[in-house]
Amino acid sequence: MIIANMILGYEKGIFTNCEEASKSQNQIKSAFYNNIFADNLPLSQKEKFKNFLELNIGKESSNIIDEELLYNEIEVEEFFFNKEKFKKIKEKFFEDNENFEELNEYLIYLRRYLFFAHSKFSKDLVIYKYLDEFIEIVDKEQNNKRVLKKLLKALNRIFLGELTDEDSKLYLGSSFTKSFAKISDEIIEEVSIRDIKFKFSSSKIDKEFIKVYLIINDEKLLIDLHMYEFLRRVSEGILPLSFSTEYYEKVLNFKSKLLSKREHNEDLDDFELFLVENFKVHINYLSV
Amino acid sequence: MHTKIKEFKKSYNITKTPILQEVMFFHRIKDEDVISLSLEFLNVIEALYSNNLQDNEASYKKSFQIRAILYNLPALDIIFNEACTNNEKFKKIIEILGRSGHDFSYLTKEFENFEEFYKSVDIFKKSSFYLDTNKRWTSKFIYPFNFDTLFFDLNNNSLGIDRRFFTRGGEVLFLMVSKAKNFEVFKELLFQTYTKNERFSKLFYKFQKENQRTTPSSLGYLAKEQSDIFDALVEDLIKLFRRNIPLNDKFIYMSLINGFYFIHFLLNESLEYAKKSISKDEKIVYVIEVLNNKSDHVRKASKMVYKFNEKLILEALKSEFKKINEKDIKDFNLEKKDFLEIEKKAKRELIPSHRELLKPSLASEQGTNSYRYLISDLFLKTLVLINIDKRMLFYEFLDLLYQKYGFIFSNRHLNLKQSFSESDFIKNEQRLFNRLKALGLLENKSDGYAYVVNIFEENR
Repeated sequence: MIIANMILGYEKGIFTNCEEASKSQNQIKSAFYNNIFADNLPLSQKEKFKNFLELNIGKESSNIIDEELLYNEIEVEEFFFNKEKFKKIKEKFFEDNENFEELNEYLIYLRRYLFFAHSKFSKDLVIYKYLDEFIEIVDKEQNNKRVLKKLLKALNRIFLGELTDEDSKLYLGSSFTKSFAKISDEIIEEVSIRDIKFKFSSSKIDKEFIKVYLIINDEKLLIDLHMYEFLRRVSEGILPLSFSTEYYEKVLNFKSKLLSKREHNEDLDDFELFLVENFKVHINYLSV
Repeated sequence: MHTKIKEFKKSYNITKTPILQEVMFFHRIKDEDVISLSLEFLNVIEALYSNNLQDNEASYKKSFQIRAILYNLPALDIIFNEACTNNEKFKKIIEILGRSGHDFSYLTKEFENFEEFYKSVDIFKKSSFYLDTNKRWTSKFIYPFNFDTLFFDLNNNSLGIDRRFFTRGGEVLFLMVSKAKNFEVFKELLFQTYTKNERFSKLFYKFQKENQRTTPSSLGYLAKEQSDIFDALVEDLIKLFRRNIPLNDKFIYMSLINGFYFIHFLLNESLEYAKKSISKDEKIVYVIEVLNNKSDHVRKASKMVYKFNEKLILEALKSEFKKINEKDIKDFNLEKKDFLEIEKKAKRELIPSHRELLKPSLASEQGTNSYRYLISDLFLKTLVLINIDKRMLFYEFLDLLYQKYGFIFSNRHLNLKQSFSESDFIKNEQRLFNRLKALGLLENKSDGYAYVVNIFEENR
């Protein structure tokens, strides 16, 4: 089905005869690389292409690639690509700042082309920027402190709802009234990095099926490729909501679980208010 | 009906307005929202806990000292930032507060310095309801951390009880709950839950010294003696309070459940009186949209059912009204047999609650100009939390929601007497699926089975 759509797909659906196809030559809307991602199909049918779509190819990029595409003449050996037209669109965009959508369409197409045709670019063009790091963790099955620190930074940012760089311990924050609030009022508990570990559920059959968990106070958070990507991006300062409301919610739910557990253990007897200044957390005790 | 009128008139001397809706359903709910409803309810529970509820008469905590400091002291920020000593700042505050005729000099002894005082005020302000509204200062409330931090809606002049924002809805809710099968179990759970959080009590009593209560007054009135809906409500609340979730999350979930059941009860009673249903199963149903960016048959059906349900309350009143004998009409505070008076009162005091109490869960105007049923993320989470013990197949979950609450998301349960596009409902079901997934409440297994999971009970 994917291959059939690759060959026959065009702007609004699929070609049903040759005549129709010959009329719409040289249009990127019927290009192979766009059809792979089901651009020509309605939303309801895209579901079948989900695995491809999740890679988000064509929408992810790096500065180097985009500069190359915009400012240099590139050679594209592709039937659907009209070099002259692309040049005109670029010129018009640079001069009048118009037709961004048309240009963007070309950029998406070209990125996809690069992804398939030039494997050296492919890493920058998929959504998983931190794929190598993740593979390394799974391969070595050990607790790399450098990686743990990065994840802690991300968790602190989400748990506190503040832009902080703290990465040597985990601050378990909460609002006074709701554990799942996006911004916290106080810190309930601090967990040292020494007490936070990865756990690998060993699978004897195949490394592919190994599962990685982050263990904090005996509660576990499943770290899959998506979750790892999400946390790493947060630690670099981006909250990528486009692909990750699900993962954001999962992290908040994990926080609720940790808080609930803490509550069971003992009653709190003071307030640990906090303030974030220069990315550092300052604690402000109030005892009652 | 006659015995009910006698019973009702024993407690309430209402002479100016007709009393048909009261004897049919309850007395009363006006425009109370779910937060006020649940706060008022907890106040009744607190009265029960502290032996201030006897012979159907309750008296509630006033706690006006702390409320004056939190909600009636706009000068606090200015004084805090002034360049003078701790003592001078305290002096100014105590002087301003003292104008009400009460003594606040204890504050200097309770707090080491002014900053500590200010920080403590901030903690309670951050956890207050209606802080930024223009409600009077005696109608703003602290989050119910426990029984200690609860107090009642008061008149801002006399500091006596008045029913402006706590309109007795919470009392009626208490009557419903107290008539349920498992009330005793639930009561114990509430007592346990709302006696924790001790640090907030300690902080609270630094501000609050007096221990006054309102003069005892009788609880609201509820016509029905028992109902499956009361039982179901208490079952759901018991589930909620037994869940392994942070203590302070429970109130918000509870208030959504309370609001829904209140309306569910009202509609079911109306159905019994009016005997009119839009569903082939002859029950109360709610066609619920999962947010769609354009209008479709689901939205159309949802709007229609919303209006039908709202009207059903009026239909019920009408059908009972017809049964009243001309000679008895005076018993209902009516001059002549004219439905208009009854309708006017219902539209003012009863029907708006359908919108008001469902707002955080189901009723929404989003993207349209009239109300319909649209599920909120928080309510979806609540439903999963109380209905799923560990995990459940997605389709079983849909069936359960239809059987238990009459929620129609999918074409599977589209038993309406009027027909609507099945394919739009299939898409709605798909959107629900995606929404649950986005909230982290659904796991799609590789064998094609999708489970709705209660993340808080997974490992138990």
